Amino acid sequence: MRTFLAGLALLVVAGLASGQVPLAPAASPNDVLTLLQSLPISPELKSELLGEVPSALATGLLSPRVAVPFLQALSALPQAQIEQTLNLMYEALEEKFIVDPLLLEMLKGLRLARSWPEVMGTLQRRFALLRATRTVLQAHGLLPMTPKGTSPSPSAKLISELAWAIGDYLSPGGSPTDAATIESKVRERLVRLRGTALAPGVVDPLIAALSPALVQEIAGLALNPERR
Amino acid sequence: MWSRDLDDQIREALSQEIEAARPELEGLEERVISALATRLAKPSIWQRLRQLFLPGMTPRWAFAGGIALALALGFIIGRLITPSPTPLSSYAQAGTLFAVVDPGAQSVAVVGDFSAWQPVPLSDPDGDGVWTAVLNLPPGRYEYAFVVDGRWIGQDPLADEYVRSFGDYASVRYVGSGGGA
Repeated sequence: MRTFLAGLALLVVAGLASGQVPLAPAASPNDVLTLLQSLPISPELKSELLGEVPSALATGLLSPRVAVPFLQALSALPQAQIEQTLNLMYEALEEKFIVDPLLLEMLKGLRLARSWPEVMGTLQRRFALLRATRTVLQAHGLLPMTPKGTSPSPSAKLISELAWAIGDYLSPGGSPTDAATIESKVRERLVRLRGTALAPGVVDPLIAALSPALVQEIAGLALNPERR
Repeated sequence: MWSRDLDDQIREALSQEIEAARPELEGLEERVISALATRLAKPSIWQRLRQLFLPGMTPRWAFAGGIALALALGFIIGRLITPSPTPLSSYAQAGTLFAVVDPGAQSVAVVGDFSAWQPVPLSDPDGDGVWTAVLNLPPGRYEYAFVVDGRWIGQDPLADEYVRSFGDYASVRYVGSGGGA
């Protein structure tokens, strides 16, 4: 007990000395699975998610840091909304997309107290952009090879960052035909992420190949998915 | 008459006492000098400390050392008791600084993707209206906003850029090699 108190005191002193505000304590994969089990959803959906979520947690497509507050926020919603959101998450996981940004987008919408149709509409547009980005990058041979044991995969990261950059332009009402502006914003963002979120070897070929036509193709496909 | 006799008696008594004490007074001067010499030879506590820590130091160097020690102690005590504004650069070294200047605010928090949009409180311990929090964020791109007394403040002057979704602005910081801290 004395050792514990001494350790606690030391931690408090260290925290005060560093002056840093600690973020929420780290959640574990078990916390995610426990929360998922407790949600009032259909047994079929629960079973599908429990089959997909553990591997997503293991490969970095889903992180406990995001999933726990997401599932906690979901638990306050009506069952239909919970299932609608989790169905979208399941689809994204099945397609091996990094889902953290999708969940964070929903949490942001809820934090801003937006209506459910607005939150869901935004999530669906973001998901459509992820799919369109992957399709176009694949078609142009711009997806990096995925070395075994790398998680999340470099291509999943690249798709996520590119889709989000285009989405951030389109979300507030930017026109998909304004290709030069979108391309410039996307390029600036990729350059800034080079060396931090994106490894130079992964992002450099995309930066070299980036063009207004490429981003317009992605935006067009996301807004008109029947063109796939 | 009586008085004269008394004087004689006193003189006689004194001379007898002096005569009686004469053997004890023999060599008194030498004994006093010897005792003083012994006392001087025994070093004081300061002399002993000086001998222990600063053997062979001249008084000039000892004086200079004393002044230096006093200055150092004064500096340390001054730093401990004088409140001084922390420069922004030192915050940047410690982590990513989030700051809001709002002297009238009752509560200020930062929400962002780094906290899953959960509020992280900013503090203003000296009550000067500058609310701050330093977060230890790994390199990357972070979207955030401030919540001041329940109001969403999406445009931080310290941000690298802004994005707009759900009809409101949010600020963006690039932490690490790609942008500022």
